[in-house]
Amino acid sequence: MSWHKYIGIDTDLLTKVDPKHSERQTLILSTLTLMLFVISIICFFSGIVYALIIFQSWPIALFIGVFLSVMVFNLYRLLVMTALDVSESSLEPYYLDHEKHYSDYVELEEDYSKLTDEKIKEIVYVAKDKLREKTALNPPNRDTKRHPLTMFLRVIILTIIGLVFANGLELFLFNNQINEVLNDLVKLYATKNETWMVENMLNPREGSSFSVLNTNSLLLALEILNKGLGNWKILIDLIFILIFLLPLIIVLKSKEIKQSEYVQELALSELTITFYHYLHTQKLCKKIENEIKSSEIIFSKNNE
Amino acid sequence: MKDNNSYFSRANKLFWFFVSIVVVLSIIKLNFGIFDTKNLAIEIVRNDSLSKINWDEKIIDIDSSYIEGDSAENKIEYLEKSWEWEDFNGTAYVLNFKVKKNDYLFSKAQRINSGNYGGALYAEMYMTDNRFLEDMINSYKGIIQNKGLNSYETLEMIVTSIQSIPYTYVLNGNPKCGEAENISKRKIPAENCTVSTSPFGCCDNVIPFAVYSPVEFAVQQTADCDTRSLFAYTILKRLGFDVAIMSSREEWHSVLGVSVPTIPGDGKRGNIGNARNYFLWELTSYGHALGQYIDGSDWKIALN
Repeated sequence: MSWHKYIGIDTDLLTKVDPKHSERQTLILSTLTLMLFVISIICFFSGIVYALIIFQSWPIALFIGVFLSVMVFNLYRLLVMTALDVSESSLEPYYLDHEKHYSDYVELEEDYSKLTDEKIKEIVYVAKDKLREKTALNPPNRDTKRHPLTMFLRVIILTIIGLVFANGLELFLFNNQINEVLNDLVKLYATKNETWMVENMLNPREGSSFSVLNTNSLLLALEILNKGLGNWKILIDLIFILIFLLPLIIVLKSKEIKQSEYVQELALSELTITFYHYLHTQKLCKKIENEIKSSEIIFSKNNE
Repeated sequence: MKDNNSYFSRANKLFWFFVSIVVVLSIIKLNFGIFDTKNLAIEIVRNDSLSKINWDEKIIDIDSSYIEGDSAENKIEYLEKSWEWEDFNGTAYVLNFKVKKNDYLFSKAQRINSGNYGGALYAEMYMTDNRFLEDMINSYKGIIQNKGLNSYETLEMIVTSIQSIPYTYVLNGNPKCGEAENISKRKIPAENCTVSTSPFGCCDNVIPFAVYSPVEFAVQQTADCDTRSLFAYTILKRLGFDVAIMSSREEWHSVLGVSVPTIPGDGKRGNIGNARNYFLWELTSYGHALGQYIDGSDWKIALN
């Protein structure tokens, strides 16, 4: 199972991790990705239902369904990936202050111009292995406090998305009952001579027929859904909200993810890359500086 | 590690459990009777027909300042009133409002000097008095908002406020207070134009048509059938309801007509032309429900 690739998880980082742990990590991240796919599928169907009521056209509905599901998948992917930080790891102090890591292995003011690329690579990989060993012995940081506004926004965004798409799927779940009420409405409005309602909201365009619900009024359909389900709607909405929030809750709360080998290796990898580029840049800087110093600079007035 | 494992596993199981519920419901379309379609169409049409309240309506005031009654310094005097009543469910209401003394005198003078009768007189009084009753209408709106009443409850709240006021004979000299009624030959109480329950009050010489204007009723609370119907019409029309003043020559009686798609049971409607769209509502005593039987087979619209 390698679903995790679709949310941008690179499990090649786990090559130096115990195979048992690596396997478990792969399983967890793939399951998480599968959850995001399920959420996207809900959005796809829900988007189709909404679009069919508004536009009464299958091609448009399919396009909107695909568009919305891709949007939500990527948004959720973003939320998951930004939540995979080292805030609960003993790596955090090094991650927040990279120079603290560099200074353990090199003198920061040293002349690196003589270092070859191979030597730089050797330094950074040795540093990476040593940091891995060092942080593995330290207990994880349990006193981390997440930014409440960021947490609130994440939860609110997903709750709103969950509620919106829940309504779409509920319209599909109860379309038979809603259509029954809509048919009664046609009869009632006809007896009351409310021709505008019947002609504009409850009659399909000439030569066509309604698709999911026998109306082109989304508000009317939602009103019937709300009134028909009563308090049950709150329960069903809650189920959908939980479906939408559970992957995020898992990412934020499960220690298997927050303190996982994957997150550690990801941070180590980023530290290694920046360390490599730091040394490389310093080497080039020194080289340029030496060249400038060694060259003879002649000042002259060109206009004379 | 055991704790860590169990958190992800439990959340994972919960997610797939909820997804399974949604999938099963989607495929087999079971709704376990939670979607109640009974009378839903009727309720929707009723609320749609009734609910047209304009919360932010601005009205153009009528200048009544030239009427005698102002103090020497041209200070505006107000008549402050308070109505208290209970609706059919036993909910208690208090309606505090004020009317400019000049508006009250203007309305009274207009009624006395009007050359109109019947529907034309009702229309004339409605046109001016609905503006004079702005404060009262806003107080009604306040109750509707505070109590969160739906359209049908709003109708019932306003009608019970009128039904709760004791009946007073309003006559224009034929017959006179103390004489016998024209049709039933019952003896009318002697003149005592005050709010009275036992015996009923009687106001004589209310020219030209034995009907008080809505402002007079709001201030004096003395009214018979047509004054009540006109008052109810004025308030409800301003709130956006489709109402009418219904009259019967057979019964020498007036009631309120309310156009709703249907009501529980077999409601009594008007008899002639468009009057059939209106259910009758007796206002002269407390407890009469919309559409409750009223004698007469010639109920027609006097004003709608």
